[in-house]
Amino acid sequence: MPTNNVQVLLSTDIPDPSDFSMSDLRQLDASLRCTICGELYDAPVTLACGHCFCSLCIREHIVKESECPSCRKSTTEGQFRINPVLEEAVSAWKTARSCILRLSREDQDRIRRRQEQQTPRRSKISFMNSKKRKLSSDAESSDSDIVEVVGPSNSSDPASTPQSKSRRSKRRDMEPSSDPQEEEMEQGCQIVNCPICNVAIPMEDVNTHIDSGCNTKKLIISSSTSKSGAKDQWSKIWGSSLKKGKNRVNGDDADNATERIPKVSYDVLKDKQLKDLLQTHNLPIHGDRKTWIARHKRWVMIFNANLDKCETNRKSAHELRSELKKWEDDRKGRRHLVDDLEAHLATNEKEFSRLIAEARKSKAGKDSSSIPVQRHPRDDHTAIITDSEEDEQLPS
Amino acid sequence: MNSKGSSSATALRRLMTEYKQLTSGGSPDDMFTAGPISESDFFTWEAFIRGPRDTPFEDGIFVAKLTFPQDYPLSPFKMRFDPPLFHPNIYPDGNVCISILHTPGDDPTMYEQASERWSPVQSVEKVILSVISMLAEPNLESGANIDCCKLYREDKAEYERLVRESIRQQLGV
Repeated sequence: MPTNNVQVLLSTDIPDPSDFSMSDLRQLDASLRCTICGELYDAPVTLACGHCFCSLCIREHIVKESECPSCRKSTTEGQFRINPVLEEAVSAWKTARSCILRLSREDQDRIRRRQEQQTPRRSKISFMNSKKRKLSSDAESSDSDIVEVVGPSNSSDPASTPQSKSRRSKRRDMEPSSDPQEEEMEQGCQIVNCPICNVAIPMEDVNTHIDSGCNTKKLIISSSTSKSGAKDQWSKIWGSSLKKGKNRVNGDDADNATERIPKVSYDVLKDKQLKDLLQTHNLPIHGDRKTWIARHKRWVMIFNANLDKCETNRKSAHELRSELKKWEDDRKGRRHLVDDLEAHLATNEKEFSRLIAEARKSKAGKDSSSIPVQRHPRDDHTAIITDSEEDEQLPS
Repeated sequence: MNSKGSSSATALRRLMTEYKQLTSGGSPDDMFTAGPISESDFFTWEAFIRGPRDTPFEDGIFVAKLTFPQDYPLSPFKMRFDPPLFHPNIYPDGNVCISILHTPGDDPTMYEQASERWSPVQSVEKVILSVISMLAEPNLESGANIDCCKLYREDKAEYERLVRESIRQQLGV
């Protein structure tokens, strides 16, 4: 699988800062790149510490470690702030880059040609100068990795005041659900971050919020309306989250949604609810429970990362879905390999022995008596099905 | 396992960029070179490292194999000297034990500070430079080769003699 990719990638030129021979331009190009993926920022978000990364890069990272990759200050998804100013700068640089690259190369050529034409004495001096400059630029470039890390925060510093203002107003537009929360904060309720989805919610509502699968919107409705009995509230939460979800399947509003998807505590959801959850976002429901959870997690990640872009740069839900499919196919190819066969056997030993025992029992039952025959084929059947599922996970 | 798998295309692009930058910029003082062994597999690299000056390693050229995971740079790569090096922080099988290549999950010696561990903003260049400084100054608190640690602590002259001898053997002098 990687073989194909390599060949594709080898044929395409990957732009990077070293395209520029001038150290200043190299520095400029490097400072507009995410230090995780090395690409020009895609949907840049700023962390509380001020460092900036592509939204998807940092979202993938904090699943493993909840700290800033540059300075290691602890961070959470709730602290991410979109950075539209930097995004604009990056897109401007993207369009200008090829032009500037061409100009700088032409300039270099011109200098070289002039040197060749000039008198040997003068050219020697200028050559020495340029060589010196080149040397110093090389030395700088070797340090540039360290500077690179500081780059994003530096570049955002001077603009921080107007930027934060616009950022805040933008956020309010994008997340209408946060308004009621802020109002409540003004009223003096104690606001805490949900341990699962990191959304700020009133302390008293934490339990209901988590029980409802982190469904903030519904929760605010239910808590603000007069309390008409717990039963009513429950049916409202489930009813609205599930039925509405089903209705949404056909509507377009799921596709054009500008609201972030909250994280879900999958362990409290039954298979049926998980499926409904996937259908809410027009996602396929084939595969087993593990696949559903992984699929939904990835969807939440790429969907929310997409929302961190300017509206004009956003991908459509359709594009995101095909990205999700690509990601899943990519993963499937890898998943069949079990790294450590013995460890795999050890962890699944219980399950295997249970299946073997079940198969033996049903077989023995079949042989000994004919009365419970009615039940046996079914037992046999389930055993075979789970067996084959297990087989799929074993190395082929 | 669940959301670990970032697409290997990201890893590939990042590796290509790093390779490009290493070849165009070169390493400071030509201390090392690194690149994929074959163009069909960008996830296995080979690095040639020159022994740092004024250390018993100074005359040697050391070969290390770098193995990258599919979700690089979220996870660190592995580095293994082949043939193995006699050094307090290198396992007898050649694997390098250095905190910059460890994630918070794997800290075999419990001596490492979080600030020294792997993070996606690290790179091949930075790791190899750390390894070179590790060759010059072993970290005895987190030893990987216990015999070597002991020898280094108790009889440094003998340790240096052994290192020089092994290098001479490798070079066939």
